[in-house]
Amino acid sequence: MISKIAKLANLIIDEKDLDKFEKDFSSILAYVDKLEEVDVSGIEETANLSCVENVLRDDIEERKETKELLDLMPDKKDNYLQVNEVFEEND
Amino acid sequence: MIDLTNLTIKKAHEGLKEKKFSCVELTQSFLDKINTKDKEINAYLTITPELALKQAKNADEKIKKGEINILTGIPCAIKDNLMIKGIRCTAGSKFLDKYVAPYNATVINKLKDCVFLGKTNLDEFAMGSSCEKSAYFPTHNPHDLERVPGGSSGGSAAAVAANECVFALGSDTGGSIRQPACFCGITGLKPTYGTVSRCGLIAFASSLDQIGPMTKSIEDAELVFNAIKGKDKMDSTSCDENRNKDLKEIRIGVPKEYFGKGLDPEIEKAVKNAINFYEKNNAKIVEISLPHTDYALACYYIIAPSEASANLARFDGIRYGKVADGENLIDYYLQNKTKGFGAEVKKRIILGTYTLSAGYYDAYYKKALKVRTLIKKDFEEAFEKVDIIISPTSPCLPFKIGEMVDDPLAMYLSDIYTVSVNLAGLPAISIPCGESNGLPIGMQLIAPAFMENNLFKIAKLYDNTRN
Repeated sequence: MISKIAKLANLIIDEKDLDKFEKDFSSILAYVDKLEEVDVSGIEETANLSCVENVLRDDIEERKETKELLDLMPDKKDNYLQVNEVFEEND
Repeated sequence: MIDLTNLTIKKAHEGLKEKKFSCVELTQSFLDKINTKDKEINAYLTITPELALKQAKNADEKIKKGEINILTGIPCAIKDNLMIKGIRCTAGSKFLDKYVAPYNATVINKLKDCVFLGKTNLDEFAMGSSCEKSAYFPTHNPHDLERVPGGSSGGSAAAVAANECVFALGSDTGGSIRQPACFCGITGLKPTYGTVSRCGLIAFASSLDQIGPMTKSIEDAELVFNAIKGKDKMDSTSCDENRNKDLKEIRIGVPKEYFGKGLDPEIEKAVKNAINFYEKNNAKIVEISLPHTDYALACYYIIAPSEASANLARFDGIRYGKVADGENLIDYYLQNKTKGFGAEVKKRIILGTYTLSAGYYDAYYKKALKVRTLIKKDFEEAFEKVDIIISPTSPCLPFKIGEMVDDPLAMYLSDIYTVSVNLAGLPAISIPCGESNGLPIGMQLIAPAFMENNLFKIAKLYDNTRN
């Protein structure tokens, strides 16, 4: 089960750690299953806490310096970030 | 010569104003202290002497011209999940080992008159309660070097307690300011959700995270809070609200669910003594109930990892933080995420991915959000009867490094008194209230939303009389 979820999250759990991981994961899940005891009929969700209104800004272009961001990029070509192919041959 | 590293903000400010010492002297004292003491404590991940001395010189010039405010030239430490432009920012992770912050966090801009001594250690991506999950090294509790300083803001707490800075900034998602403050015998405030901008804080769980001060005194916490709070256009969850309530008679709520099994008897004794103190000083003590207390941890351990799995998706080694190569795009993600993240972070990402996945979203995440409403309501109802709630901050004394590492649940359970506060978005402060064999004990005061003023007022009452 862990390997399937790990794949969704783009992670690999090492073979040697898998057992402990499964154990820890099961015990955490067993603990959070406690919530099944709670009657939530008619209760609204609280997804966020703040002054809940949409905050907008004016639709004006803001130019920002990019040097610091470019310096962090591992692979560059001119001022562009270089990455692996997103679409492969047979797409 | 007085020990300059021992001063509170107030005392340091007086000394600077009265020209008893310069800011450069003050800063150098701390840099020297860090140089000698931090070998044993390991509070700092990155020390920034060049930046600090430059800021100190600027502060001295300002002071010469008479332009001095309470925080001018005060040396502080910043938790390493807060960005200072041009300075390395790791979030305690190998993923960001070489990452240099491209901009200042809003709180850093607000503290522009201070002196930044360096970035402090934390559990990786703020996920932990002991600082043992830092990808670099554990921090040691200045009161007992074999013990943890707490977490995730363990480095900040230890730096303040060891006089390696005047004050520090931490962040709190489930107790990460309050618990280490408690373990290190200092003051730590988690403000009301939304009062302090999260822009520039490397996000863990966006509906729970808040930045706050870690200080030597309650007064210092109030000073820093007032400096860093405020609505910020860069954080749309931030607001300027401030609520005041006249306290003619102080009603203190003691939650019956918080004083049962699992609480160390020494801690219980110390906190009950503190409550007795309030009673002797004309406060009314009211037993209250927070009936959903038992479900708070489960609720937190669904919501926080869920939000974390979304927030940490950005770490893929593409735009920054490359730690590995891959044969193709997907393999690149796999290699970087696997090598970049530590075990605890991976665990929480997997938990969060699971609870948000199709088929489980309703049963886990949506359900937790509803239980969250019930927890929030518990506090709202309690605050109709009382003005402040007092509880222990931690159920246990600072444990030894390595003691809790094998039992994830035991570690999570140590957050039991702090997580509800984040779920409900309330302000809470941890202040020292005793000790057991030299190990600090702390108590937590919780106030209704946006009533930090009452928190400070009531905390000071206890603190002033004790001293």
